[in-house]
Amino acid sequence: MRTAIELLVNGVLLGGIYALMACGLNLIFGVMRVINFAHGEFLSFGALLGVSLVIGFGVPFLLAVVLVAVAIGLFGFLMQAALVERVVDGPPIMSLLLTYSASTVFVNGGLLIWGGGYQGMPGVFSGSVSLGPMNLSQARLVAFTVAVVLTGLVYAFLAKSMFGKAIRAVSEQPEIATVSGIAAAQIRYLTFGLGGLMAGAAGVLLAPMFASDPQMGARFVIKAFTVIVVGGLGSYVGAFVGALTIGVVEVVGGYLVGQTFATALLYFLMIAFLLLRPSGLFGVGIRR
Amino acid sequence: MGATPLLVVEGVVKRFGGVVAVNGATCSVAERSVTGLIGPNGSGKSTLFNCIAGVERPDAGQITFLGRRINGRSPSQICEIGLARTFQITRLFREMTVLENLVAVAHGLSDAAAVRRAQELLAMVEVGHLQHALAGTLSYGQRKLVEIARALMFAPKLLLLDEPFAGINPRLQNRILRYLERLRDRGVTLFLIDHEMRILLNICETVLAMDAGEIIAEGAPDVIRKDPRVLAAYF
Amino acid sequence: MSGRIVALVLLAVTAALPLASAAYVVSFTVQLLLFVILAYSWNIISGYTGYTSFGHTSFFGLGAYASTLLILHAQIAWPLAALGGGALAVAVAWPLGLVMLRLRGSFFAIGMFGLARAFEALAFGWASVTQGGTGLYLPPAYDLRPIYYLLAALAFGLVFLTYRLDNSRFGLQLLAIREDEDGAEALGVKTTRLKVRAFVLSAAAPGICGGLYATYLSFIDPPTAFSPATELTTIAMVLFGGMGTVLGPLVGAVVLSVLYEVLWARFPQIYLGMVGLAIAGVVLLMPRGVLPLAMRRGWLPHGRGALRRLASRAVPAEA
Repeated sequence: MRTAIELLVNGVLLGGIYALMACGLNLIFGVMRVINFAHGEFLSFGALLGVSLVIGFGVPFLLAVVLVAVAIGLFGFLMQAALVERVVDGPPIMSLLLTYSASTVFVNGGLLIWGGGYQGMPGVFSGSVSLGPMNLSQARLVAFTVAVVLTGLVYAFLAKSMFGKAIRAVSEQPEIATVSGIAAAQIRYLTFGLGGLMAGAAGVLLAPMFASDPQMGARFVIKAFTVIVVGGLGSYVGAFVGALTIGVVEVVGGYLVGQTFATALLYFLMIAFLLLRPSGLFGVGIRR
Repeated sequence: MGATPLLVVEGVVKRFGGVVAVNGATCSVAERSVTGLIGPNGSGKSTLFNCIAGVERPDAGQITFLGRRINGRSPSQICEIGLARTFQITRLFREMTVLENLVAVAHGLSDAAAVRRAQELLAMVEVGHLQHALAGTLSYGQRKLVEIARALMFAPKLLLLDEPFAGINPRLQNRILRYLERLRDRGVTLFLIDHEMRILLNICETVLAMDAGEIIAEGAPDVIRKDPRVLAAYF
Repeated sequence: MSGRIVALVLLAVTAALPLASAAYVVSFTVQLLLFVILAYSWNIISGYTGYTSFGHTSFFGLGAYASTLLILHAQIAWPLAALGGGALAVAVAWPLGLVMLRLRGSFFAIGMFGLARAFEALAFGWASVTQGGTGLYLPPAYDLRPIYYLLAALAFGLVFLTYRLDNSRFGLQLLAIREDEDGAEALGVKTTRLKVRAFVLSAAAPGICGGLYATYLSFIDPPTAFSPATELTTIAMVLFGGMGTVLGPLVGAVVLSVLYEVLWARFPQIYLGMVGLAIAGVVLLMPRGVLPLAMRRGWLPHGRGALRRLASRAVPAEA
């Protein structure tokens, strides 16, 4: 029983970080019907940049989260402006090919900058916290808290600010060109930037838990796809709920059948949802 | 009525989420007849066509074509029984030539026979000279004509035409009218959606009027035109 | 008929190559043939049918593992084992196609990508059979020429098959699915049956080829079997040459193989990035690829000539 609760809690904690990554991915999909294959590299770059700042330059962890989030956010903004914007009106497969190839270039760039080895963040939140009968990793608790706060902040931004409302308007009706004077192109840049910001932050938050390397993106991007498929394509809240679900499935599945088969399990979950419930738990149901 | 009905639609219902697009529509189309389907925008005409063609699966009701129950079958199976269609917005394969568009949908014919048949049909609608043009480069009117020819590739018994006269000039409308009359004379049953009363009066023996997902009136075109229920639906 | 002459010359050169040249040239050509096979196979499902797969290495990897295990545990001769690899790929592709091809566009691509990653994870995890990350070793093959000739036969066979496909009604119907699947279905094209057939067809050769490649390397491990680099290179080649054309994959494979060989030799550390840049460049600058461009400029005859010839035979003079 104690194990069960501990697994469940750990799953939710992990899911919180996935939410940060998947909400951004889903936001991008919602606004421009583009699936950003390079989203995994936003995460891995975030993690590696975080390690460099914290370990290399002694920057405090939480400050590193902020700095990296801003940097990767800017990176995402530029990627949209320079690349994705050119194919945003074309067939969806073109934008997917473009972000797929961008992902490859980024992985290669990451290998050149950081090398192929695993990079840890030793000594950062390495302790554990006793909560009643449970022992929870400090790193996971901090990461979860920061992730949920950040996801909530972005949600509030979408709900309250003018730009946020414009993003939601375009997401619901992609054909409209301007919303209260804000051009659709600007909205797309900003959305991609936001997606980058969230994934970058998620990367830094993951760094104390798992060793990072430039090739880790593919693993996480598949998880993020699974999350948005399960949660519902284009739905921010859906991505959040989906992320917690996937976190739990991964942790509990990993305990029951081992990590490798848990990865395969997640994949089958994604396919099952795509086929049987393409609108996911909360989604708008776009199959193309 | 007289002739046996080729197509019978009984109590067909189709919902999209909470919206009821077709609400218990019942009608029939007699063999070798020309039947028109009118109704204001959003009255469920295209959805009914999609149900008949198998693109949408009705939530309730029954559709019988040539004595066989066809709801639940895939569009290609329904096609094979002898039903063809054109689309409201033309859907040619744009990257293929006109001839290839026709040959691609042929079945039960050798390549040579399919090419010959395609050329005959293109000649019938007087666009034979366009056979090697890419479909994507055609004008709107030309696409409409090619689409009619393509729908005839497998000698259908029933041809569904979704707004064949919409958005084209009167000269082309008259041309299409002439082709449809020729098809009727060859024994093809025609079932068409359109708004052009002038044309429907000309070609249809029977007109069905639809409103809010139901068939509200049926009769000869000049009767339907004056039917108070139909007028009420439009205004 | 110049096409036939070119084909004969290519055939002769390929046949004579291992007799006359250095091991380096032969090993380069083996790589080239491998990619020609993968590119043509990918072209059937992704180029003609329009179902862009990001996980076709699944079949390559399955074939590689199946044939290696057949050689190791059942002492089956390697050519037969490679055929066994192809048979497994086909046997998996059939039910898989029925399921996966219900996904459209980007979701099919991602589904296939995930599939390759799931297979890779299984190859790592199922260590009792696959030895996990250590990989499986085969007794080294001393004479590589038989493998070379089999790969060459497979490659030429696929070029010919694609030529036939391009000029057949089946090929036209696959193009119709690519253009407008629902429209084609509404016009009586049996889309499900046809696209599953195309998918199975596109899985067979990679399965065989995976087996041959494992024999050639006398080694297989998960990253080699399900390599994203292989996948990406294949896609780049077909994109560059022209999706859904007869000669596009060949042109793409030759041009990019030569290019990569130069880059590989000097800067192996940026190989993947260069492939990525190549794809991005094609997507941004000429999304249809080289061959369709050449066709439109009139440098090359249009594809699907058989139908045109039939048409001109039926109507001698155009009105």
